[in-house]
Amino acid sequence: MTRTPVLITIDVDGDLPLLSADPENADRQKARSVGTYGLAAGVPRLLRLLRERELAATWFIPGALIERHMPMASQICGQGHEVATLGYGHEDFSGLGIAEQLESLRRGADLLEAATGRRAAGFRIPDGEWKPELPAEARKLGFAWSSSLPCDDRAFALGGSGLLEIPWRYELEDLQYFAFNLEPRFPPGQSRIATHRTVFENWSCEWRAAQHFGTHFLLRLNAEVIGTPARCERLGRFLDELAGSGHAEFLTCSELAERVRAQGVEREEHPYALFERLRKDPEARHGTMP
Amino acid sequence: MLNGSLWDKPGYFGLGAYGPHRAVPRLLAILRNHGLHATFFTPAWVVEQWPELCQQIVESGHEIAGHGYRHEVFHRMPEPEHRALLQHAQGIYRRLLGSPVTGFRAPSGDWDTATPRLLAETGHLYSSSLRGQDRPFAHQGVDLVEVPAKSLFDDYTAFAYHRGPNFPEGLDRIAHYGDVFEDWGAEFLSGAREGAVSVTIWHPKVIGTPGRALALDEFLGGLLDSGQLKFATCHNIAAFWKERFAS
Repeated sequence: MTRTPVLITIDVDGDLPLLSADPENADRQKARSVGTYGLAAGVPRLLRLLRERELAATWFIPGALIERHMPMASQICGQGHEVATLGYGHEDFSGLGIAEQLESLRRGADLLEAATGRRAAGFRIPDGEWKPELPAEARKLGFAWSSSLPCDDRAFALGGSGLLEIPWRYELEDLQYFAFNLEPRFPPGQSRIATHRTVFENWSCEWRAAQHFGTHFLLRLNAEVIGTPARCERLGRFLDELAGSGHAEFLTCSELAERVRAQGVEREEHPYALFERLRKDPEARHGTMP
Repeated sequence: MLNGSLWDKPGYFGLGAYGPHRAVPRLLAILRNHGLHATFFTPAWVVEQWPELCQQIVESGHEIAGHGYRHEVFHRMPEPEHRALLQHAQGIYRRLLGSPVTGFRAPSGDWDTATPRLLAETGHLYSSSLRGQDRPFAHQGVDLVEVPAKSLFDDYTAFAYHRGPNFPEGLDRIAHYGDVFEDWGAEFLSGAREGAVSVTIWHPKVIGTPGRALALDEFLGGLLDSGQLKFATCHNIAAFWKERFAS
C-alpha cells in the first residue's frame, strides 16, 4: 500500500517580519522578543523533538538570521535535516520588483551555502506574492522547487518554468491558529488564540483525509509559534500517532520533489497554467460580456 | 477581485481555482456515494472556464443555478446593466449546459431592489438570496419564490482564511471542524422538527478541502442515518412550494 507523504516544514523567522514591515520597529524589544523566542527556545526544542523520533524536517531560514546566528543553520543541517532559503530579510514579496525578489532569494541561498557548505534546492516566499517571471528565473538560479503557494494539497508544475511547487495550506499552519502580538497587531482583529484541542483535532482530521484522498500532508510550522513546551509536547504526540499508524512516509521537500519528478507531474490541467494564460490575455479573463 | 488585482496574485487565484480543480470532483463523489443531489450556484464565467466540469455536475443529476456573470455586486447596479448581465448569463447556461437556469443566488451580499423583478423577467423561478424566514415564501408583486438560506450555514464564517488580501479582515482563526459540523447538524434536526427548510451556503474551495470534505462525508452519512431529513435541490423545493401554496 502507498504511504502518505508527510512533510514537516519549519520557518525560522526571528524578529525579521517586524523589522521588514517597518524599520522603526527596531526599538520594540518586547515585540521583537516574540519572534526571537524561536531562536532561543523553539529551534532547540524542535531539534530535540525531531532527534528523539529520528525524523528529518525541511527548515526555511532567512539570510539575515544566518548573518546573526551563523552556527544555527549548520547545526540544523548537521542533524540530517534539509535547509532551504526563506529569502534574505523576510520581505513582503508583494512590495518587491522581480529583480529585488530574485536578489532576496539569491542572497539568502548564498548565506545558507556559506553557513552549511550546501546549496539550497528549494525556497519559500516568506510573505506576499511573487512576480509572474519568478518561477522561471528561480529555476535559472538553480532552484528545483518552491513551497510558497497556499493553494493546493499536492505538488504541481509551475507552468513551463521547470520549477515544482510543493504547496501548503492554512489549515495545517500553526501561525494561523496560534500567533499573537499586541502591537503591532497580529491578528489584526486580535482574535483569541485557538485551543490545542481545535488545532490538533483539525490536524488529525486532515491526516485521515490525506490518506483517504491521496494528498500529501504538509505541516507549516514556525519555530517561534509551535516551539513552546506544551505545543511541542502535543506536536510530538501527534507525530507519534502518524509514525505509529504505519501509513506515513516522512519526506523532506527535496525527497518529495525527486519522487514527483520521477513519477511525472501533471502540467496542463493545473490551474496555474490557466492563471498564466488568463494573466496574459485581458480579453479572455474579461470574458464574453460585451 | 474584479478590479484586476487578482492577476498579481497567483496564490490567491490558486486558492479559488482549487474549487473547480480539486474540490468539486471530490464533492461530486461524496454526493454520489450518498445518493444526494445538490444545487451549485455558479457564475456563468466559471461555466465558460470549466465547461466540462459543469456539464458533469448537470449530468450527475445536480442543479446549476445562477450566481452572476463574474460574481458581481448587484446592489445599486443600473437596471439596464443588471438586466443585460442576467440575460448574458442565461445565454451561457443555455449554450453550454443545455438550458437556462431557474434559480439564482445574489453574489457578494445585497442585491438590488430591482433584482427580484429582473429575475422573474429573465426566466427564473426562484432565488436563494435572503435570510428572513425558515421556509420558502413568495416575493411581493413578482412571480418569484424565495428559498431563504442562513449565514450560520455559510462555510466562509467558520473556515475561509487568507492573508493578502485578508479574509476575515481581522484574520480570526479557522474554527474547530467538529464543533461546526455539530452545530450545523443541530440546526438541521431542530429545523426538521419544526418543518423548516435548511439551506446551506457552502463553497467547494472551502468545504471541499481534504479534512473538511471527509468531515462533510461523515456528517451527511450521520444525517441520512437519522432518518429525520429529506434532501432536495433548491429548484425542487421552489417548484414544490409554488405548486402547493402559490397557485
